Amino acid sequence: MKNEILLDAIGKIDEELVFAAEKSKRKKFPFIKWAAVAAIFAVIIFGAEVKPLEYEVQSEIPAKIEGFENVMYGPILGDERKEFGILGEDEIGLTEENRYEITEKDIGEFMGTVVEGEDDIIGSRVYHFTKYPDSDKICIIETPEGFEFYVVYIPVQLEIGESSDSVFEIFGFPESLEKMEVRYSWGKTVFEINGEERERVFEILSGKENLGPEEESKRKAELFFETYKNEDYVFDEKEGRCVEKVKGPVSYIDQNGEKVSGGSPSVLARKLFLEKSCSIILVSENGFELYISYYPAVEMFWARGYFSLSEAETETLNKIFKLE
Amino acid sequence: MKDEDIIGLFWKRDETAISETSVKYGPYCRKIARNILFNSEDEEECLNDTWLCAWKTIPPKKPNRLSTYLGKITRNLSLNLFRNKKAEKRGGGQTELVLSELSECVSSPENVETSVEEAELISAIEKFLWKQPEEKRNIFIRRYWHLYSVKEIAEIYGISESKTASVLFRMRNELKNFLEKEGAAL
Repeated sequence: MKNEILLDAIGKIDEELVFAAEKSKRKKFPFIKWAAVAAIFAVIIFGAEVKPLEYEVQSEIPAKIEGFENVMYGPILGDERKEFGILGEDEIGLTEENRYEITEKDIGEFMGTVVEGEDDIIGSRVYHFTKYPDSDKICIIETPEGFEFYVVYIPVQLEIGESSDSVFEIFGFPESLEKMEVRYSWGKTVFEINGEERERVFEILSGKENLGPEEESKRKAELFFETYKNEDYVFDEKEGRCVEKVKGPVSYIDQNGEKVSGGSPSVLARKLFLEKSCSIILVSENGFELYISYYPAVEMFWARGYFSLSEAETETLNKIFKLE
Repeated sequence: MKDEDIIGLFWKRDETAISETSVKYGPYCRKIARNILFNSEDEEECLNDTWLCAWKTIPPKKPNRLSTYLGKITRNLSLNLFRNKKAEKRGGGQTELVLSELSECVSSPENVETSVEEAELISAIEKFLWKQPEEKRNIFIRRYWHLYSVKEIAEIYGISESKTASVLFRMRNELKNFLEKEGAAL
């Protein structure tokens, strides 16, 4: 049964995930709005010793802040806590002792008020985090339950035909471009790109037209055909996506005459598509990050849209990204 | 005793390794076996087999985390035993419920054929989990790795049972969609 296969596969996931889950526990405490407010007044009026105001809570609906209408803010996640130094690099899970307690000294300058989000936080005041006074990436929202860290995300999806410049403009690139990083696998920074190479990358990625997801699928099917010389995995015009003509395990001979086996044609197609792929992260001065996926096997990149590259551009990028 | 000392005993082929492991990790492994089997005799059998399996595999293995290493062995042995004795239809354990829930993540649960390699599937599940908010991720693992009951998970995280069930329901749907998107659908 497939559900048993899935249960077995879950049993083989990374042990770190399992260990983290075993260590995790939500802190049990009542959220009392007025207790939090009273604590602030105690600090302000009486100059009392700085005490924890409240703990973080989880919210599911992202918040929109006045003055930052192009972006959304969501509750901070574990790995982001590490990024902002509010959870130790070696800490795993949000155990009681791992929870960062937001105090009065963390509350920075006023940023604005929440104009969209969960009902109970609309109208809440938003502050900078004093540790990162110039960053708009992280903020502290004064929710009815207490103070919470929120982190930005930018829900932009380009329409077909739109230029890659549209997404760069939202982030204020290239003027605000502070850092360009290349990551070969999830969560692992490999190196930074600077100087002329950075300019060259940006130049190549700019001014491209969004061709949409169908173009990406077509190229994936073409790549499959070029490699294995069969039509077991093709682009279906009606469906607007790739479909398998053969189900189950397959075995093919590739261009180099080597035998390649896989669970299905789509598994092998995906492997081809992802060959030498990597992520490029563009970071703005105010801390916003744009993730770009680079797929040299099909000469494309994704940056809230699907963009095509020429052979020469792909060669240049491969060199800069050290994918040769 | 520290994990590295216990592993050291295994490596030295000192049989006290088994008793030390049993003292330190007996309750942890028993809980996993109980979640799956809900039968004390079967739990005992699985625990003894777990220690034996550890004895046979360490060395050559040197687990980074002894707890998870043992937990994984117990989980596999318990699920195998559950399958072997399924016909008896004992109630109480979480396995049937969990399997029924996981049916929602596959396209046609009655079909035994699968078109995805196990390694691909595991990798896709890991990717899916790493992308989840921490608490949701942990809730999912507690349910589908450790097979904790919904009630137990709710108590651990201080949330209601209905909220826990709702989180799991949404995650199963998300996992199904994610596996399809990743070309790893079952």
